[in-house]
Amino acid sequence: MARSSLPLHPTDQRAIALVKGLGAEISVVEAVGERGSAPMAASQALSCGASRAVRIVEPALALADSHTTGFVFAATIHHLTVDLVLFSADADPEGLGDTPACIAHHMMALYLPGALDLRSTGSGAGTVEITVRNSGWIRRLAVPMNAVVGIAAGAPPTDQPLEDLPPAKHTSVEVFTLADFNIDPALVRRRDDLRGVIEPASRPLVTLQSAVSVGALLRPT
Amino acid sequence: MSRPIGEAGADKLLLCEADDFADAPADASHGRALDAAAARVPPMLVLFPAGGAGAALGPPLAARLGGPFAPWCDFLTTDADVPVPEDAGRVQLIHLRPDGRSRRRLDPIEIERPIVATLGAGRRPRATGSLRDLEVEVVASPKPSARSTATVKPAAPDVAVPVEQERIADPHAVFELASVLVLIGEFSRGDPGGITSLARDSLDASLATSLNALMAGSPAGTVVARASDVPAEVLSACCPDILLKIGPSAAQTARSPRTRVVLAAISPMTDPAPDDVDVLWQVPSSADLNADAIRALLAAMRDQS
Repeated sequence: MARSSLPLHPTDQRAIALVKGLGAEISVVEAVGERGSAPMAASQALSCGASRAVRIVEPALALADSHTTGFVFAATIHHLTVDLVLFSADADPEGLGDTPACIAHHMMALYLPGALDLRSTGSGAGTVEITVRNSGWIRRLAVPMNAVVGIAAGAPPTDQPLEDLPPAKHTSVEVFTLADFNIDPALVRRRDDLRGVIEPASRPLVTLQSAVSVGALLRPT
Repeated sequence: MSRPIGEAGADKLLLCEADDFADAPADASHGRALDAAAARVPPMLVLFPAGGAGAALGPPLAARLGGPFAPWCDFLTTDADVPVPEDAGRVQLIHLRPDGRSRRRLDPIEIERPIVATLGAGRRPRATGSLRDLEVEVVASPKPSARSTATVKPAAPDVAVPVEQERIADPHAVFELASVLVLIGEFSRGDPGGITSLARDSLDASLATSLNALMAGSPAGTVVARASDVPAEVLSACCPDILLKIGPSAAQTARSPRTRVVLAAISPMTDPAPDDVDVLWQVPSSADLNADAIRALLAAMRDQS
């Protein structure tokens, strides 16, 4: 998943590289709230090795909340019939990372953030081996394919070779509208933005000379 | 668990027990307990502490409750005598946007849906309650196949649970709970006149050999490390109250509106302070930026904590 009009996030690149290491095909989905904006993320994903890039165009998505956006993404992913959904929470321009959980909710899929690595189990049992960092543990899990997995922010680059890719089936970004997935645009438009009110945050720079004065400033109030 | 919760001032503890809750928190296992708690006491705010559980459990809970999720929040509260307007709450949440110069303010009264939020690692305040005043209620834990409740939208009833094959203790686990994080920056040998010209000989050598001694007099929850030794994904999951950078580094943590980023640098600086810095601690010479000075700073922060 990617956001439109922005370059492909490094963690998204990491996700693509990890899936390429599994030898699987990669589909990238981006949602666009403005007509005519350049599909940077999707086209860059194709350059990085994604076999398919899908772009959903709907102006109302620019103001949609995460629940609605997640619903639209889930419908698109259902259309693509994918096995595993990857996302990078730090790629969210708002820094929320809430939409993937809504996707998992609508897909009735497992939600698993904090993935450091993906490996094939080799058993062909419909699972993938995922290493996650969570609450003081680094765990290696056999995860069923119907899952929405978050790649850890700032995870190191993969050591998997970026070559040896199957040829891309689609060399251009496929553009869809909500009508293609039988979603009424009014469903998106009538939802409120639940993310709160944007206002300036006052953060003046304070310059101090002594450790005592810095310590006094930082004492808990 | 009930003692610190009661001493922190909680009125009620909802307790939900199951064997699989012993594992690391994951929505597939722990989500049903949260659903049960939300059904028992429909919340306006659901707050997760620092430590990783919020990232795993918060967003899916928000998805089921139909409300927003906001990471690394702080509070706006009012205890003024004058009544607040009917359409505004006395407690509101704020969180910084990625640009660091704007924020989002979420008012539960205005949003009219449960808000799920995570908090940064704060310094523990004085106790305001007691265990005696804490009411403990046991909530029945629904089985995984029956996660739906009366007031919460049905969650995935047949979500397959991942099978753990191996686990090791995370060597960086302390960082997620660090309320004061001290990161020793990079020391450039090739830039002796710039901001990176920290006293490499005095600071680097003494600090490297006395990190434990440095932490001994520091506030509770202090973690000291070299910035280059901590993976970026670990730092991105940290949200300390205070991030003290000794010398510049590219290391970045998550920030709440409460987070203060302090940069210790040699005066005069050739470059302006980075945009994420809130407090610039300028020391007159490289000899003044040593382990003793940092220890004095940490002790000064601790005096009244």
